Amino acid sequence: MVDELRLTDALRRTGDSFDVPEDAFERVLAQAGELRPSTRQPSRAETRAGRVRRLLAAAAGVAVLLGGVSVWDNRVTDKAENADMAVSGSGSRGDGSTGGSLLEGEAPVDAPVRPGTAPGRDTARIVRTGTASLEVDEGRFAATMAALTRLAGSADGYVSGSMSSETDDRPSGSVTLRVPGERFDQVVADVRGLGDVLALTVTAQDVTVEHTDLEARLRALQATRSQFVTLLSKATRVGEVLEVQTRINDIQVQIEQTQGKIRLLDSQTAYGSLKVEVYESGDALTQRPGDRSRLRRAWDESVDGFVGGVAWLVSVAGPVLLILIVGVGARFAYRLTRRRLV
Amino acid sequence: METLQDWLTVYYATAYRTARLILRNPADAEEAVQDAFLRAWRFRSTLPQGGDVRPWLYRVVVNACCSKLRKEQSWRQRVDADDDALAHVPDPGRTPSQAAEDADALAAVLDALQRLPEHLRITVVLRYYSGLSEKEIATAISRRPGTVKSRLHEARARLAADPRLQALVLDEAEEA
Repeated sequence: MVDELRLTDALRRTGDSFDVPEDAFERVLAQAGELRPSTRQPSRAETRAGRVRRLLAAAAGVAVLLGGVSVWDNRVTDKAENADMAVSGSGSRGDGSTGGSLLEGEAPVDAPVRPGTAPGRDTARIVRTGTASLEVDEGRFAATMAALTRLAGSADGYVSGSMSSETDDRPSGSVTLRVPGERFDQVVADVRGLGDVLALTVTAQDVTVEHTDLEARLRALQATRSQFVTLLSKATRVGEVLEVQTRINDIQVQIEQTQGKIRLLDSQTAYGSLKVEVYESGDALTQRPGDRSRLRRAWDESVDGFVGGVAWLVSVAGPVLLILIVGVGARFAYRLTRRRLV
Repeated sequence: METLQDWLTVYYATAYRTARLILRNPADAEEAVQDAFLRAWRFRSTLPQGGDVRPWLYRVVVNACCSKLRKEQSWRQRVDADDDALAHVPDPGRTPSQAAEDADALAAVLDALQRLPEHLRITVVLRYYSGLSEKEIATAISRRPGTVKSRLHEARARLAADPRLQALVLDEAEEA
């Protein structure tokens, strides 16, 4: 066991080796000069029970506020869900995704509407994504990739990623375009015009409910923080001050996290993402069976026929062999019987 | 004591060094102690009249340090940033080699202290550096005196297991 005296001596020498920062006093005094002094003295009428009652009343007020926000939040969520169902129609409802474009000009039923805005697509927040595979003429790969980049720029978008490779002297690659949501469909149509579309998938995911939920949560957190700041000014004991300050710090972290999620959703809904893969014709990946030559087809069929014939022979060999064995056996038995009779 | 200047003059140095032993990083320690003094000065009206300000003040300092420890992930990246402070070891009359040995010994103590869990480290520093009694420590960390006693015992046992602190360990004869 460590000796207490020796430990005390060691810690004293260690601690005393730390120099107190210069101007530390001045910094504290300067900050203190900006503080509003709390000179409030507890009056005779204010007992400890009175302080507890005040804090309980304030906490009850916070609880009522949070409860009210939660009820309002649920109402908004229900209405948004109803609106979502009205917009998506007969599409898959697993996660709000639908294939293809949204119905033009159709207003969600009972959707939350911001003051001053007409209901409709303006209030819905849609994440647009898509993938397309494009076949272009031989030698046109580089030009197509450049055209896709220009297409993104002309739609006030940008290229968020690209990749290219070369196999057997045939280049291929992909480019990911981020374009404003309202220009997404037009960009898809323009991409179609750059080559033969081998595959195309476009999705639209409605995240209005999620966004509304996050905004409501943010408002509730900010209101709660304001209430605790008010509580902080009323707290008189050091323990209360520290407790309330800790809660304020925790709520601030949650506020910043929620704001981050909202910013992410805003980014995803503001710009749709379209990944376009480009291949030159003659690339193995784009070859179709009809492109093979007649001679090649004839050869393949001949090989198939040979293999098939061998397979047939093998399949009939078993029964034929059995018949032969039975036949030879019968003949041998007949000759043996005839000799005995003679 | 009538003014904040008086408080700083009497208590700041020990409070700062206490925070340094808990947090190790000098910037964090200064920030925690500054916050603690400002908070304590602002609410000094709640200080018991005629009572000792030390346990009350150290409670605020400890809570400020705990807040720092909870928020600070990066203290682990800066834990070795200011070991040069240990080069300044007051050694009047000692030779350079003795001073170097002292610096190594103190660095070992500091390392061992940092390896203790937060709740044990705080208790050890308040007891063996700041000189608070077990009852005063209990007030400072809002625990019962029995808890303080058991934490001190556990901390001393853990420190004894550190091979670099054998000079602090009682041998069996001394313990008996």
